[in-house]
Amino acid sequence: MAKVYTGRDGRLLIGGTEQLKVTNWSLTGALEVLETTTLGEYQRSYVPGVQEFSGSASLLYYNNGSGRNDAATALKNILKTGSVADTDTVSLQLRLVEGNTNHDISLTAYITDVTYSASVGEVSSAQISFRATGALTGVTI
Amino acid sequence: MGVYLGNAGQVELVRKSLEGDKESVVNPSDVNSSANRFSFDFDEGFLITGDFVELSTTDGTDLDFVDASGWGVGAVQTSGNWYIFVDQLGGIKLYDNFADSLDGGTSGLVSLNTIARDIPIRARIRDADYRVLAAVSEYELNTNREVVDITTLSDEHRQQYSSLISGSGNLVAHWDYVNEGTREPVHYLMQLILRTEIGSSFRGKFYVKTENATPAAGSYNQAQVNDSLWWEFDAIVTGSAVSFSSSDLITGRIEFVATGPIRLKAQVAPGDKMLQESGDEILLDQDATSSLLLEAT
Repeated sequence: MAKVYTGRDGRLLIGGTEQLKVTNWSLTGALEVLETTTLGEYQRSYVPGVQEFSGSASLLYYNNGSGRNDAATALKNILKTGSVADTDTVSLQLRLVEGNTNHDISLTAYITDVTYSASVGEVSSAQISFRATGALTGVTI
Repeated sequence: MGVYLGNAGQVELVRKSLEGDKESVVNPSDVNSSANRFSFDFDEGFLITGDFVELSTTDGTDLDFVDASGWGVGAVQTSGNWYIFVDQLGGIKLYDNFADSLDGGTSGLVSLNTIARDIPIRARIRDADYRVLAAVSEYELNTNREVVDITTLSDEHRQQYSSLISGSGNLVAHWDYVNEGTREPVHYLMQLILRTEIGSSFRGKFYVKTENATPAAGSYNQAQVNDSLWWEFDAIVTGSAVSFSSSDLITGRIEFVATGPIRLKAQVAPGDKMLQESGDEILLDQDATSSLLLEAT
């Protein structure tokens, strides 16, 4: 059956927990290529270099009434009094749901940027950017 | 259920300024005590005849150029409120009541004294009384509630969250420039939009139903006759237009936006009857069918 995916199908999981009130996520994958073209050749040639994965997500700054605020938890990866250790990675799953099937991209990443704001006439939200460390841990898209 | 026509409506406004005041200096040569007229440096349009103005000194000294007879306490103070008449040359006369200030004559005119020193002053438009805006033929008021989209991933229906309220509208009135004492002409609002230094704000009451208005048709309770309902808010004049047509009345169209809270108020008048705490009327001994009334003011 044909299927068009929209935001209704999207989920974001951090550490295996589906996040509350996510308004968007995005992921960019890039491959660095190293040129191997030499004199006398007529076409450029390359070999694969290093892969890179980064992305961003926005979460409403929302308290579910039980004290759970996923945006605040994400912000605390950077907004904290102590320094960031190399163990401060997060396990992310960017998911599109199709019935009982999950299309996931899983990665381990550092939260690299957070933006947290309050504006007149707008809902407060947290924008986070992340950069993967190591290879993707799962791809089931 | 009654059916009301537009003639049950009305617009009232209070002259005021939301955006500050004006500081200047009154020099001895600015005061003409024989004509009871003075002036200070202000841009044309800053003050409009009929404004209720608070004048005060900024150095703590008395406002010597206003005669003691012009003060309610009979003695010169550092600050006082008067209605003003502004002539074509920017000269100001002070009056103790609104109606006389419109005429610019000698009735109600506050006497001035010569001064021998410069007096630094601050002028501020004060809230005065509500006056009916004359000859209004129609008005429209829109109130809007902004919503913020808080739809999130996995939602199947859009979710919105209440945000800010704003209001705007317009009114159309037959143009006149003569103030009748208790009624403001639409010309005043046209003057307001040109007032540069302290803004073009006013406080308005836009009535849906005025007191003693009855439905044009349908049923209603006699006790409803004294009820009145209105929107009340501060507003800023954002546009004015005058239309001329050889075969039609000259009309002025004013556009405004609300600033601050917008209230929809209702006065369910008890027929000017004095009530007990329980809400019951106080019946007269002489006639059990009559009740004690409040004195009309």
